[in-house]
Amino acid sequence: MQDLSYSALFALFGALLALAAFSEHQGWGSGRAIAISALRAGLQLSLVGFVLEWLFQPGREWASFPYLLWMLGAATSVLWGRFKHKRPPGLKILDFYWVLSALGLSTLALSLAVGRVEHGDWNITPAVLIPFLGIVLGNVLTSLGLAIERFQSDIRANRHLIESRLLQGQAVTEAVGDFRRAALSAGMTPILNALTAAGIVSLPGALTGQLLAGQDPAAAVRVQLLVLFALTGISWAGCAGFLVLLLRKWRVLEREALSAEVYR
Amino acid sequence: MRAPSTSSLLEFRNWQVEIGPGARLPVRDWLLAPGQCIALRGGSGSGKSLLLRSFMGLEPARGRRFHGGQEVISLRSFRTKVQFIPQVPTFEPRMSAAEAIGARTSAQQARAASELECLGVADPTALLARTVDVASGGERARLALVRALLMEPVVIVLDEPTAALDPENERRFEMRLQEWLGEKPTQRAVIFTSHSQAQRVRLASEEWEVSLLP
Repeated sequence: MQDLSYSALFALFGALLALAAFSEHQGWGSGRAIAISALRAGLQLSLVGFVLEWLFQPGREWASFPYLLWMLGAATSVLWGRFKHKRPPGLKILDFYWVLSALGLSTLALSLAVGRVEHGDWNITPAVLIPFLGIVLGNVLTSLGLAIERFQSDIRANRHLIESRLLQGQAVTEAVGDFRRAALSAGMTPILNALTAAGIVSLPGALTGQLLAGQDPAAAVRVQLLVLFALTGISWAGCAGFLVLLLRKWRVLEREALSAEVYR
Repeated sequence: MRAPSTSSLLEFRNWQVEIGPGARLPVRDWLLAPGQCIALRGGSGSGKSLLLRSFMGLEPARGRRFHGGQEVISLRSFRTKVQFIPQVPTFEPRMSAAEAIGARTSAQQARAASELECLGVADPTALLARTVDVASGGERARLALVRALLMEPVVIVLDEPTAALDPENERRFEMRLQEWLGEKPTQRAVIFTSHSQAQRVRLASEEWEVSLLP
């Protein structure tokens, strides 16, 4: 398993295509989606493989900055696209970008700190930073998506209750307090599940990857724990930061009013 | 720009409510003097509720709010001094009615019970002890008035307040409102909407005509 050959990979892809054809033929559907998604993933990853190989050459560290910015931009547009039809009022695409960038910066700081402890210097290679930011952004997209969706649907469903609280003189943050808690909890669910199941049910991605690459299990576990802890903190920061930003926008927009447009 | 009138209790100057195309109220000043009991008149969909909700900052509106000659800066304190009772009052779910209307101390609970009794609730103590989720429409209407009274407001704004009450309890409700206004006529006022002309005649000292612009 140390080095997977191209022929084995193509055989696997062929088997997947056969499965897709079978599914389509038997009337189960989803065959087209399976085939297209697998092909797409193959192309994207191969492309990324070339790009990363080029990037990781010595002397090309500078090029990882535009690449990191591009990753942030792509994550922003994915998140923005998720809310195309039901965007919280007052939010702009740049807000998403800033939230994600702040998280990216925290990731960078964290990677630097870890490097400092492990190797005693502040050097960090693109080969560490890029995958780390990738895993962070991937998780944050899921967390934020869940938190925002939950918050919006709760706010819409509980409009009368929120208005009633405001009419009793509560501040906006108080009036939506329990919905903010529920949204944060929804956003934290995937990573908390991962923490709970880690090692018992599932061997998380980074661990699996390192074991497959022949790493010593104890070292692989340490890296995995680092990743899980970092993801937990960053999920929290992403959801909380986003909710703070959203409420600030609404308060500034309406001077504590939280008027009708918020519920649309 | 004219200075706000010092004799008015509430003023909404250059008040502009626009919810979208086809939902616009004419721009004007709304002045409420102490002791007044204003009835909003207008058919269904004429924008009466919209206007009241915009006063309370529940609908986007442009213009300036004044309370006692001072411009309103914090909607939070405005909303405690001006208590709004919406058409369908909402309470915190799963709470006892007493908690839900903010009657926490025993003195507040005693006051709430006596208010409810005066509004025609047969067993106010039992109503206050039950969870508010099982209260009927008529009970909710009266609990909402008591909740507003417990806040010690200067203005009470009501949107179709007695729609869920039978005629006898409707009169009790009206009488309590008139009594409340009569206690401090130089400091208090009432605004309400009602589809019943008889009720407007019984209660109102003045009527405001409301209609959406085409």
